[in-house]
Amino acid sequence: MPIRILLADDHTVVRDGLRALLERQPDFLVVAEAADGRDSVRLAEEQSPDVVVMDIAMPNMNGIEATRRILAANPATAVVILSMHQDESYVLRSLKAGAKGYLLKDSLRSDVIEAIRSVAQGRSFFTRKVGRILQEDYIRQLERRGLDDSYDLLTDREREILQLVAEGRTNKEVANFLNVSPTTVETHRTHILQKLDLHSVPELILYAVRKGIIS
Amino acid sequence: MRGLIPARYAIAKRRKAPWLVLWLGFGGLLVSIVAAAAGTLISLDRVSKDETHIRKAFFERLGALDQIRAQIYLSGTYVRDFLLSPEPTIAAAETTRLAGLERESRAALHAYSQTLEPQEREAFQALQSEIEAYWQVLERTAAWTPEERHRLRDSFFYDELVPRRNAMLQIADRIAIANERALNRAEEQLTASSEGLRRTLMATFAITLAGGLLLALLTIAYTLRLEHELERRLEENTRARADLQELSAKLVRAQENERRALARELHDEVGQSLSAILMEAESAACAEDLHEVREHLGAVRTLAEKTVNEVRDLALLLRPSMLDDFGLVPALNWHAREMTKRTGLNVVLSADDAADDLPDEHKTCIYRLVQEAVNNSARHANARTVEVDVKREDQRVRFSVRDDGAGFDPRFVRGLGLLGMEERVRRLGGRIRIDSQLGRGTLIAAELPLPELARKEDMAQRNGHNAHTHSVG
Repeated sequence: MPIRILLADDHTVVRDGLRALLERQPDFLVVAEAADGRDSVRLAEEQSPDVVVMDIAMPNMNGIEATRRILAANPATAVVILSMHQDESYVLRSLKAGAKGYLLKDSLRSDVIEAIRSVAQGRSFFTRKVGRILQEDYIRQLERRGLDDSYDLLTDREREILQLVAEGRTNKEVANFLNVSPTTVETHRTHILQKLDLHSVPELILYAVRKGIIS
Repeated sequence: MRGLIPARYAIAKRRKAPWLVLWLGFGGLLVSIVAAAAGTLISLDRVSKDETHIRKAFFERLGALDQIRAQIYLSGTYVRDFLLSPEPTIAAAETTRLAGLERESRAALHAYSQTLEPQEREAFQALQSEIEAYWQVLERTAAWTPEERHRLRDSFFYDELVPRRNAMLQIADRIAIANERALNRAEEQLTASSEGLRRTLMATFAITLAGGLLLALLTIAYTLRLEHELERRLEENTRARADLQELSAKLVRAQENERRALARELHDEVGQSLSAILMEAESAACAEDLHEVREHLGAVRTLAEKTVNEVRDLALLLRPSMLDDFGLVPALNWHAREMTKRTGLNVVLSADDAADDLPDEHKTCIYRLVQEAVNNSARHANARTVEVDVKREDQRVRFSVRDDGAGFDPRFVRGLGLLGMEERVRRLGGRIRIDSQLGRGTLIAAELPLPELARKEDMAQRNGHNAHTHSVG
């Protein structure tokens, strides 16, 4: 079964390039192309793609709002953002909207392919450059405020769980992977959020990206 | 420490008082002139009426007195005729005529007593008793027989009647003299009262004239002051216009500089990178082996990546897309991070989420103000930390930028940036305060009122993000 893909970008050149790249993969199938946010929501509903590759800056509706609507209608769809914005506000809001991956327009093409495969399997994917930029910002902020890196507060087990959760795994998957009960995983997760002063899984993922724990 | 928004509301209030004085002054003057004229007319009328009345009364009394005199003379004649006439019938007729005369003279006396002046009362009473006695004497003769008349007539006539008549006439003369004196006195009184009237008139005119002069002086003074103020305003206006021209010239220059910088950026950076890409692509097309092609394509990739970054930075510098995509707070956050990254300035932003959903104009205004202020803190003030505060209240949004830098004296420093801030805030009907002192840092605080409509729209949009945005991507 091929991975069914919807491309959403208002620039035809980008869509054509992407289509050419993706169709070289035997297990990829581009089922539709949308030129704006509203179109992408409509086509996602019609085609029920496995993965949507979404630009943020689009007319009529931006990609983040489109992501929110697509996932509200069909949570099984995975969205990868492919944007020129590398600021953390875009990354965090994309995560909050439910996107699983974040790519920059100057990311390596191999990254695009890897990202689509990852999110199709329910894993997160962030291009290395985003991770690096966010990490630099984060370190700078810590230095500026004279704060210690709260990552040091985490136990080895908690770090392990942080990475697995950030990669997009559910509590049950993590529990199976580590051979513990899902309740234990949930407890660890709560501790992690408390220690890092985070409030949601998207924030946790952003943190993991900043720390270079995932990419 | 100076606020920079001037207030000029006191003038309108101050203007009312002189007008009131002028209105009251002119009104009072007019009323007093009209009142003086009316009073004079009434007084003149009264004087002339009094004069007529006095003359009339005098002549009436004079007439009455003459009548009384005539009656006295006539009575003498009648008595003489009666005493001389031997015929009883003629005598009887004379008696009847005498009786009529007596009634007439009593009536005349009574009439005179009505208009009696106090100073002639004594003389008049004397006259009255004389006349009464006279008539009684005459009545006595009426009862006389013809012989008695014959016998006694001479002695009666010369000893009694004539002296009595003379006495009466003397009294009447006295009364006439008194009467004339009274007339003179009354006329003197009239003269005195018209003299008084003249004086009153003079005084009134003097007062009116003085009041008019005073009023004229006041008016002139007021007019001069107005003229002075007008001149001052004109001067102020001219100065303001010159300021404005200078400001707009500065703005035009600033805009031109910005365009120049942008053009240079596009040409020097983006243009160069694109030219390089072109050359690499051509080299790749002409390359002999695959390895060389890969090398050239790798260079193209690196250059393209660089160009994408440059274009994005340029676009963000012109207008951060977060402002349109997510709202004010993420845009301010981004700007704070960028400043920290580029200059090392520690920007601490505290803003509530409610500040995200503001009307477009307000978002832009606040963003530009904060951007300008933070840039100033970094560039001119050498600040280490800048605190940015944005708070949305029910009807307005307040924001402030405070730094710990060198500060400046707002009385002398009026850069384009500060003027631009004031202009942006003023256009949205807000207020701005710029507090700074050398060595004490700078605080720029402003508040913008939120329009009713925008508040409602915001409430409606609070749940979903604005979906109608498009930025360069």
